[in-house]
Amino acid sequence: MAYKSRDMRRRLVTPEGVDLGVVLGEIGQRVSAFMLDSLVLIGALVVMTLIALFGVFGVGEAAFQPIVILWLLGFFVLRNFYFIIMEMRPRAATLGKRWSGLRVVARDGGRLTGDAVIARNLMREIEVFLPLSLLAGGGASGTVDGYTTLFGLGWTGIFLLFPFFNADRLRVGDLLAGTWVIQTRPKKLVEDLSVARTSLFTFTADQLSTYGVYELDTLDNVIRNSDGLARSMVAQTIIDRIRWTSDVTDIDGFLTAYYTQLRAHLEGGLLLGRRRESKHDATLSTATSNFSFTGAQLGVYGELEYEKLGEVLRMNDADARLRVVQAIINKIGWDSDVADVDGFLKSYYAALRERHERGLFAKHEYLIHHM
Amino acid sequence: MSLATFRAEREEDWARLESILDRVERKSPKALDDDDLFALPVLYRATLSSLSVARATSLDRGMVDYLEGLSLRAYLYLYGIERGIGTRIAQFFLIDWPGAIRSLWIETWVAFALLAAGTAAGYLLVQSDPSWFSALMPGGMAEGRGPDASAAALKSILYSKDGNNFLGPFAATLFTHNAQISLLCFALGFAFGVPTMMLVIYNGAMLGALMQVYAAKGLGVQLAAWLSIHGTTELYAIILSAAAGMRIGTAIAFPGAKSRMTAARDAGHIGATAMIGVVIMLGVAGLLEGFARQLVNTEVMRFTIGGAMLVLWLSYFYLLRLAPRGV
Repeated sequence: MAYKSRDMRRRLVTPEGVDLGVVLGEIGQRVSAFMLDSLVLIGALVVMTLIALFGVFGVGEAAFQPIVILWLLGFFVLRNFYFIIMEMRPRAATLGKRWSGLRVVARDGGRLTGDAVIARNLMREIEVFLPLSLLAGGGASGTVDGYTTLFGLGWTGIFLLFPFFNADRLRVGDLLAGTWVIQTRPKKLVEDLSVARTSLFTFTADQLSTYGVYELDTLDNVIRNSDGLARSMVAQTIIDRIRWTSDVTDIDGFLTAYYTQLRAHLEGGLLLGRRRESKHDATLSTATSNFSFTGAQLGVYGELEYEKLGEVLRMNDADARLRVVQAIINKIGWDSDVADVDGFLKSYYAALRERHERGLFAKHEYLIHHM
Repeated sequence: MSLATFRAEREEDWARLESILDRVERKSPKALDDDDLFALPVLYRATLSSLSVARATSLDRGMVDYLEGLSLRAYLYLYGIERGIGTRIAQFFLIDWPGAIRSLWIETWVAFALLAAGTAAGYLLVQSDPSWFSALMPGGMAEGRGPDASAAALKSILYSKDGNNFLGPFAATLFTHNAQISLLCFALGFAFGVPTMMLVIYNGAMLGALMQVYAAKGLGVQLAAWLSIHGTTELYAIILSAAAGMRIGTAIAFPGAKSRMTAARDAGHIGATAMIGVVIMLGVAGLLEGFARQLVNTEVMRFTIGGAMLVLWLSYFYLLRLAPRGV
């Protein structure tokens, strides 16, 4: 899934204010697109020449002149205007680009004008055709000595290899035209993996707090694209990590169920503006809890105290924590012993947060459905 | 699963937008009936809004990717491409082309001066030492013309009618060759304009060398007439392509108040417009060279046609000043 690589992502903000986040084409795609276009051009040239030859032999002497004219002009148009005409069409891509999943857009996100397309393609003259003619000329006539040809190639190589030396993968033509080449996205909407199926597996909040968005995406990819061996290995890793105790015979069912519940869990966090990027992204609420609190014990405090508690937890001040724990124990009437001060505070914080967020969550659900 | 219903509720709209885009991208807006045409912008905005919600609330990678792709396609179709080829062509001939040439006026004078200097240099070099001719003129292009050729042989080329059977292909060859050279001349401008200037001077030197050979035999006026019939158009076109190339080179070397990227882009747009015009001019020159030159054999007529073409181009570029409509 190459298109996820973040460094190739660029902003493209629509007038509606949404950043569509275009992804620039990779060098490999660009090269393969150009190769394909070259094949198309050569193929068209061969077909054109064959038709011309058949025309001359079929019709005879009289047709010679018009056919030569047509061939000459056809060659000129093909060489110079194939790229231009294809990129001026609504898909803004030559056949090679289309097959490689690319298209041309204006760098500023505005209209791709005709003169921009012309400018970017006329520059192929020094990027491609000049080195080619140097090679052909130097080789065929023998008038140009080796060093001159070498120098010429080195010089034109600067233009040819230009895209390698800038972060936006701009060709010389792109630079002049104010364009860049972006990847088109997969076209089809893939099936939603989490569409409710009756599931035999139910995971606890702790088991779902193990992973983040990165692992979710990876799991999505594994379920869709990997073979049985990879899937069972991934399932085993998850089983070990979340300490799943019962037997798992239905690996796919297990993975899908874990995916579904993990996603629901993480999406719940998203609604509250909390995005857990990966398993390394520690949040306060992920601590495994040895304490459980009743509704009444949680109802004692409000949002203000919850925020304060968060601050205390983030501060590295053992005395303050001890005092806060004492205050909470008194206030909520906690009767058992508390040996693990930090564990108690974190548990209480997490429980408090869950309670508040459930309230917020309900509000958000309402909003989504009435937008 | 509220987020699953979010998707289920909207999936139909997305699919409709997708099918509309499939149709318009393949054909044209005319392929749509009124319903779809009016629905397109509405569906686009609905999809954008879905994307915003999905990004904020959903971790369904497949769905977010799909919505990004679909929104991008719709955005680019609605905002990213030009259409109306007829008005585009009219705009090009009435406004863009003459406008681009006008804005290149300084570069045009410089290119003209370089060509004149090259011509003078070529003339003087061959005058001082005839062996310069073969150094300046590639064998293929000399076609037997040279300091050693007799006046009669030189004259016969000016008035030959031999080529009559082959005039058409001849014109086509001339056109494609010249057009290719001028496109190269333009593209080389990217290297700060230096190779472009060298190419112009060299072309001038070839012209000067040829003129000296004819002038030495007392055929100067006849050669000028022979050249002028297409040369006013062709040389003008080459000067313009060099001017467009130099504009790019100077924009990259000295962007001035703009950023280098902006300066390069602006120069590229003007240059590209000018170059399409140059290709058209060279097509005209090819026709004049291939047909008119061989068919019209008197000096007066040759000068008249050449002069008329020059006046035509100059008044088209510099006198036709239409204000762009709208924007």
